[in-house]
Amino acid sequence: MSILINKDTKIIVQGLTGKTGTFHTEQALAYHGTQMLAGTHPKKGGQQWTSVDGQSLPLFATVAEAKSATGANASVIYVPPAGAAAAIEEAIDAGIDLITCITEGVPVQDMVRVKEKLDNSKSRLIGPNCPGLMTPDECKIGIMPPSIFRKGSVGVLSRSGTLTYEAVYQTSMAGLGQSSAVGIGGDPVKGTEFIDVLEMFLADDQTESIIMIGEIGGSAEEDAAQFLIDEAKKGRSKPMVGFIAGRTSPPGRTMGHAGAVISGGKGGADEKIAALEEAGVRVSPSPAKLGVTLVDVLNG
Amino acid sequence: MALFKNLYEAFVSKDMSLLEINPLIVTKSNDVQVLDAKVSFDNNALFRHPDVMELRDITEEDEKEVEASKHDLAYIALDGEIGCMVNGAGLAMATMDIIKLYGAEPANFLDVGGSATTERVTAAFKIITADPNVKGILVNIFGGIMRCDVIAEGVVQAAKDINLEVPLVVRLEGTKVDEGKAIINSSGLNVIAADDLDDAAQKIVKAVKG
Repeated sequence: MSILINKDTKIIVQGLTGKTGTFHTEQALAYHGTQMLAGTHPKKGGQQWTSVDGQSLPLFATVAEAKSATGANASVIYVPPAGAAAAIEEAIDAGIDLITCITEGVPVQDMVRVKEKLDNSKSRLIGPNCPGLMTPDECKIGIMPPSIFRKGSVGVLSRSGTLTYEAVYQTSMAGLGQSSAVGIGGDPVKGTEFIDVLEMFLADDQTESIIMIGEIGGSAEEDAAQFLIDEAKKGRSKPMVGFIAGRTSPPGRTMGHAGAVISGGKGGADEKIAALEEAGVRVSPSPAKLGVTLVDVLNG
Repeated sequence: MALFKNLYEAFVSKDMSLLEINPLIVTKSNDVQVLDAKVSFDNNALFRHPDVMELRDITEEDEKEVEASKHDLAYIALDGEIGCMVNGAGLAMATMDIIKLYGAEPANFLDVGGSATTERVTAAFKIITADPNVKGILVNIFGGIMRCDVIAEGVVQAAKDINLEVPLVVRLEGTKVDEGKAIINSSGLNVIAADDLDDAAQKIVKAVKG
């Protein structure tokens, strides 16, 4: 098994016709036949999108039309920040089960509005400001580089895109591979939190161990630690390695990600590391030693 | 109560992230007045508030950070000696952390972002080297949205433009990595290639600290 996506996931692309949407849709089509079925563009309904190697996908004016024509249950969003929240809302209204928003720079208040709508729907949102998710050899949604993946047993989850790649690459090099990898995104208000994904990894048979990568800002890592402690009391736990980015970041500065800021003395790396260690997670001090640390944990 | 309603409306309509009132006073005639306030705005929402943008005073900001913002680069100046150019905020923070772990200090945080062009990479390089404290540069790219060949072209172009004199360690991985490495290798530049992040951090610290 895997989590969230597999070879049967049917995907439409919101914002397919742009440069970013085009490049990454070509990559997804080339990845073990990921089912990218259609694209949407408000003014290009009825037209066709064509990739560099000549594959084409139908374009629809709305997500609802694309869904009813293709039977899609997932969408990926590559539209610019000003229109991203509206794109997510359109996908929720169309009843898309899994919505992934790659777009970086969505205003926080737009996301507060989207979050309320999500809570009253059956849709799940991954992101925004995230790299998407992958299930090796089955399905690729988003912008993760496919060549570093290898089918296996580690569940990877992260607030950072490129650190997701580090964890994936290092677990591939260690011969462990991944069950699924999920980038939840670096914004303060987002669709899916660490806890949601940890719950799925704990329940997934293929996932034998977990790497979780957090960073400064907010309290999602502390929440995740408390969740792990509570689940362990119920007898549910898996070997875990963690990393927290931003030990050397100055307080009060937003470190690229809108959510990565130590403010009012809260959200620092040391508290997060302590909370995760308290929950039984082996926290690696080096971002380059995630794979070897996990091997170490697995070997007892 | 009218005051709270107004404050709320101001907060929402201007996409504020902080609205701190201090002091708030009650006059002898029982009027409630705001005497001073600290306000900050959501950077991601500034595109819809040109009036707020006009209030920006760049003389209050770090010169290199102002230059970086012109090129849509997330850059923060720090006190150390190793300049970093990284893609992705998380990896950029982690790169600073690993430099510190190996006994040196980062000179900056710099995320070139996911849609960087050769021009933007060149600009990033110039900003890093404008800092006189920089004794070496670490380029750490794990390409997803960012293509390694684009980074490589930018690095080569920039190093030639500015006649780079400090050691440069480049670590490339991910999308179009082979094309990127080929561009660096055939450039004739004196670049120290690194296999992974650990190797890269050790090599740049060694090059700077000896």
